[in-house]
Amino acid sequence: MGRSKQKQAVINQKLTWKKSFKKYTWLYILLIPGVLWYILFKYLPMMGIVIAFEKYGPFTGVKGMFTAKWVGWYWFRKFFKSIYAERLIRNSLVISLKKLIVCFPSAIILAILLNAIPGTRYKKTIQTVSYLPHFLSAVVVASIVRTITSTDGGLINLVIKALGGEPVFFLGSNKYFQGVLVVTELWKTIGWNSIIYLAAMTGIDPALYEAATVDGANWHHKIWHITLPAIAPIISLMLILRCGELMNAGFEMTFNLYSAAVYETGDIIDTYVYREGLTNMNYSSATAVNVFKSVVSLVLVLGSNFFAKRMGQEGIW
Amino acid sequence: MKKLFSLVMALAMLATMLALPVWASADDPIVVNVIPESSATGTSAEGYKMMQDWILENTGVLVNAIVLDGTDDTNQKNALLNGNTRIDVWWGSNWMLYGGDNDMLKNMKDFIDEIPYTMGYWENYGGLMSVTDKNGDVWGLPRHCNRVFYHTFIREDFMQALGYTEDQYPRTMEQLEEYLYKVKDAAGTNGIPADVIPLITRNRMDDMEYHFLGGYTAYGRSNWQDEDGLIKPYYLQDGYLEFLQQMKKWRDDGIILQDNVTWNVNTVREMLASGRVAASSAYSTDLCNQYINLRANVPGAKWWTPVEGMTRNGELMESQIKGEPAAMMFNKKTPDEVVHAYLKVLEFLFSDWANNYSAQVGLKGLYWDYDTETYGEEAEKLHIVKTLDSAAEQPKYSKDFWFSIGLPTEADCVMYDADGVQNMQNEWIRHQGDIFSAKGAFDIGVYYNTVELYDRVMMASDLETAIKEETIKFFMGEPGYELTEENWNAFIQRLYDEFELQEYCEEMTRQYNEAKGL
Repeated sequence: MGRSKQKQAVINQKLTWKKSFKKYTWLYILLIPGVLWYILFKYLPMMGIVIAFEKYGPFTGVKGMFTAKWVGWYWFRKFFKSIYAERLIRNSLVISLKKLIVCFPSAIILAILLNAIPGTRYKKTIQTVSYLPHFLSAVVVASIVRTITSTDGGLINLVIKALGGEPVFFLGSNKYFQGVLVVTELWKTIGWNSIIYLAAMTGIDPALYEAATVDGANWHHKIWHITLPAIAPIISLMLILRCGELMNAGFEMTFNLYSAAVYETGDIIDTYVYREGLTNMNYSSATAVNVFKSVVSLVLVLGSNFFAKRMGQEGIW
Repeated sequence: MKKLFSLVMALAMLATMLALPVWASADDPIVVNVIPESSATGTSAEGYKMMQDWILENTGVLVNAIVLDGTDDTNQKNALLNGNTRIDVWWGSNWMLYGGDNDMLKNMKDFIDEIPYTMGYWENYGGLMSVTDKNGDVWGLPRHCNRVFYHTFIREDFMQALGYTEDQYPRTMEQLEEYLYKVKDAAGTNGIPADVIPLITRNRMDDMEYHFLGGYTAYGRSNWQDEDGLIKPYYLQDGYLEFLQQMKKWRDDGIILQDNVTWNVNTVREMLASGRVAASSAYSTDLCNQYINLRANVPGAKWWTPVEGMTRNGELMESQIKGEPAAMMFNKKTPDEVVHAYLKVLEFLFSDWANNYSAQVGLKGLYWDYDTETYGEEAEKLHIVKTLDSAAEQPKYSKDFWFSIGLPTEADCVMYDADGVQNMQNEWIRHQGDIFSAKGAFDIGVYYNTVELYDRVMMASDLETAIKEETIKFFMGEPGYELTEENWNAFIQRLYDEFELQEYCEEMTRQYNEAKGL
């Protein structure tokens, strides 16, 4: 009796894998360290999530994960029972959303504007200048921000005073602190984040723009009808990935700029985990909070991927 | 060619992932890995090797000092401790955090007799009390004794510019306040900078509390026992509100700069180095260790502090810092022979004061010597030293192998620069032993187990966050945080209602009674 079509397809596939391996043996061998690295350093450590449900002593090492006392949901309950849990989650989401709303489209706008610059030298200069802040460490940037916003001779307050106003204590005011974080993030990341959109734009056929010119299109018509649709898949992809990081409000900059005076709007999940979990070596508590964050991030990534596909865009998978 | 390249690349990547072990031979010296207490202060590789070899020659022990860079020491240290590298000795602010359920510490009870010189320093400073548990086990070597940390230092040259004579120097709160306002009004005249900072403190209320609270409350910055027998924290004392109101007034009037609450120690150091500061109520080793550099930046700057302490209404303003359970700790997994070897190094460093000082600043004869030229034989007896000219030609070295056991040894030296002005770090440290100049803590000798506290009082951590955050808001005069008695009482009531303050006090009382045997 003949084989079913399905069985035949499976057999053909197996043959294809074997053939592929035989043909590219050394490339597969080259692949082994990379795969091993992912297994060893990304997937195997996920076992460590179990310490979120234990009273784990870090000094006990890996063995301790299997011998530590099981406490179930204790650390999760402790976090949510905290008076500040709601505030931490709210601050993390709000700061992250503000950064998304301001920084995400800004990188696209910058890329579009850079793409429109005719001269190469001038364009490259602007690009380089816009990338540079990305390479500064958070500590250096925080120091710059602290100096600029200082009420004691800081540049911004000097301008405010010159215009007849009173100095504003930006880093100590709950009204302005989140704004400082967003503007700092914008300055630091706009250049670097625009790279991927610029790269996508270089793939657009110039003939499209020429045809649009012939049809009488203005620069904004070209952007709306040619540039943006062409880079829409990249925008969609980046937005999905960014949505997955919505619970990450940016630990480094917040930690370097915040103080007790602005805990109300500046204290985020990551700074809480640092204070309560890491400094006191309570890794179980830190892990529990991060598990919660990861679950929320996963839901957000899955959700945004789903909606992206529903809107006709390509998702990540 | 492609196959060979692929194979080589694959092997190279695999090799980097695997840590290849180094096998030791029987003749190798015993190796001890230590994370010193101090952060990196710029020792060069040559300077490090020089000091490491010096210890090896004199003790036969190879000490690896793993110096952290100071940006996030606690977490770096904890990561190293819980990683694969065996760290044999480290310092921490609370040995109870590393003991108990974490069970990281070696019981040092049976080793103490090996270090008579080292422990001899602590005889008059409370001995092993702060590192001994209720069962009599010893979990490290002590680091912080009861001390006076928060003298207010005042620019003597500014006072002289304002026409002060020595008998007029501020010794009371009222006199200090008068000076601060005078120096602010005199900005830009008589050599006082136009952008003078009348008073500098660090970004924490406890700086101001330790400096001044004693003049407003019965117990200063200390726990205290109420009539109901409960041990209560310092902010529940009568007078705390008045203290806050005074500090806020100074902030509103520009005596303390607005941005103060966001400054870290680096910013404070920059301010001090700029020469703008008229009085300093901010202490940190990081600040004062730079004094020689600060003086180079600000020639002519002279600092003064009343040795007998400052008073307000006859009460000492400053509060003693209680000895804490900070300790030099030993890894439970470290073999005993390594512990013996390290203790031999400690005895070498502490049996001769010159060795200890060399571990701080570099070798005697190359970096420093006793200042016999100026002080004769007394110099060696009193440990009066000077930096040698040859120090500038030596490899850079500072403190990497200085294994601190705290104030008892640090106070025991004096150092003057080329102009005969005392090094401010030593000046500050010398005064830390002036416990007569500050209010003593109520519960001296009682070391609260904060790990147990956090376990038994779920809101303990939130409570401490609330104090830190809300007192700053009162200090800054945020809307809704006006410093009225009504607002303050409402805040305290909130602590009881929402943050388990009653349970917090009950747990502290339980631990206090247990420690006192009541």
